[in-house]
Amino acid sequence: MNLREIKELSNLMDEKQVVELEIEETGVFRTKIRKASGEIRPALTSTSAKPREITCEEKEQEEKEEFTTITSPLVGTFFRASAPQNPPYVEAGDNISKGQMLCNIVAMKTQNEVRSEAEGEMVEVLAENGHPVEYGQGLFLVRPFIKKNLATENTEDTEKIKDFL
Amino acid sequence: MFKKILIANRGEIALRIIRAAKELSIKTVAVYSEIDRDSLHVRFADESVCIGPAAAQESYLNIPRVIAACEITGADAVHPGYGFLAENAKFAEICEEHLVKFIGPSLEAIKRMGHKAEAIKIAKKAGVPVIPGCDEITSDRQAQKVADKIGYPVIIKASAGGGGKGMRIVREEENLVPSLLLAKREAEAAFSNSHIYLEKYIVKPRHVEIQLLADNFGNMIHLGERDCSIQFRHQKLLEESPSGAVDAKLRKKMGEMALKIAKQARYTNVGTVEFLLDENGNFYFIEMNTRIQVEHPVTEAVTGTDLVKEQIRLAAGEKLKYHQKDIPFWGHAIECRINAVDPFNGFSPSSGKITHFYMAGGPGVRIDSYVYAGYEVPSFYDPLIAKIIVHAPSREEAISRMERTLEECVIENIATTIPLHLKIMRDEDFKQNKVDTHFLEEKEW
Repeated sequence: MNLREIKELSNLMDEKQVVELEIEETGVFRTKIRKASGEIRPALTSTSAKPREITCEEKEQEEKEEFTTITSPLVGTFFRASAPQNPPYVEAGDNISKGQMLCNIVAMKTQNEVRSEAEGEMVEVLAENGHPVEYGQGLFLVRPFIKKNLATENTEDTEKIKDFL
Repeated sequence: MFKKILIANRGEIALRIIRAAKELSIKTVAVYSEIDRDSLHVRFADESVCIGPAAAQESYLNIPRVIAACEITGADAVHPGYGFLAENAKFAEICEEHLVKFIGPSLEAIKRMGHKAEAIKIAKKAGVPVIPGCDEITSDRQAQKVADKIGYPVIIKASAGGGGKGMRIVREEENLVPSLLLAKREAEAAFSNSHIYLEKYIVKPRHVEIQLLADNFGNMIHLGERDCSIQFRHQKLLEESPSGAVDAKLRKKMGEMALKIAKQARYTNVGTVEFLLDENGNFYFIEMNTRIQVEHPVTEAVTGTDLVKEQIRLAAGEKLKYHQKDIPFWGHAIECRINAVDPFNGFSPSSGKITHFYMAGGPGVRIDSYVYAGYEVPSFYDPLIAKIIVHAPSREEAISRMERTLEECVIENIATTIPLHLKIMRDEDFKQNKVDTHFLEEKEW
């Protein structure tokens, strides 16, 4: 099979909307022509009909909306435990409750306790142990416990799905 | 010499301090409130620390946060600028306790000269004239005796008061007793306190202040005067040096008096002694400002000095390098304060985004500003956005230079005091130096 023949076959595939073709002439050759998947039939998925590129920013935004950042209420040095030899108050993965002790911020030789305002799952510790922090600096990323109604979460996509039906 | 200075301030003075520190090869730390994140002082400094939300009480006035910022950055000195914590004795004390050098007068000097009544006592002790009067009027007879002694016109003031209430000017002897009664009634109504006192009324006074520099070893000099008579509601708007009412002889006298007070108070670093000057060349001590002042560039221009650099050097323990005879007084300098207010609408504040910003240039022009095109002027702080200072060989040339400079400057989308300053530069009375503290209110612009 030469190139011209392959080309002809390819055009035929387009015409007939064939995605994949395998030809074998026993003992002579074997070829498989596969077209890049196009919109032959719209797939009923939760993404909209036109494949939309979700940008990095949007993905981050989606993620951020799920999370709460606990920020520093003071200027000082951030410590994750009550003393160097003690274990940290919290670790990623812990469930934290309101009023729970999270860290100490030392300023002017005074230890200032920072307690949680949120209830949820500790996702990430943002500040480094023993390092200085400024007012408003992110200390902890928490996924708060909020009940989500998944059925009505993405109304735009639900509308598009309706169009196909 | 210091390794790192933290600037406990914002705006144009923070930039001023950073510039002086840079020239002395000292690292700088800026502290800022959340709303000042895009402010120029944050960008100019080597390091920056956010210390709180917009409200001054939660940020620039928050002593623990400012000290904590010194701790985490390893700053070995703090410059408080003017306003905020600049004359706060408690802050100076806490700096001392935390081994951070407070760039300014000693704790003792701030305490002593910070209280007006205390400062007046020190002035009297130093043999410096204060406004004659008495502390309290006990009877009509006593008032008459005092008034006769100090001479008319006199002014009756409410002890508990302010804001012009309970104040009465008495020009003739026969009006004294009826005025006393009226003043007592007004004071009672306004402050629930009928106590009144008497002072000599200075007719057409000029506000003239003397700049001082002192090291930690008892050496001090004065750097001449600034005339700050053009004010609105006791807020200075325009300052110049020299003063039209001060000749070399009077300058020497006032300078010596100012130094006497500073010596009595064992003063160190920078300071300014304020006087009221009457039309006969008599001057009276009012108070002392224990900090670097907004209008310091005017003195820097005519004496060729850098006052903020000197502050840093003196605070680091260096000896004062000038002798009184070394200080020249050359030419004439004028400073116009450019505030983000509408001067023809009660000076109401004008906040918002500056869309266009072009500052003048050319010989003898200095601009100290911290704003730029695209900057959002916040409403939380002092409305001063720029200082325009001109220096020229004579007052006439300085006025012409300032007029030219003001016309060149463009600050758009917010109201500023530029149009008011242009009016002043073009005013006949101002040009002829017929100026006193009532200048602006009498103009009714």
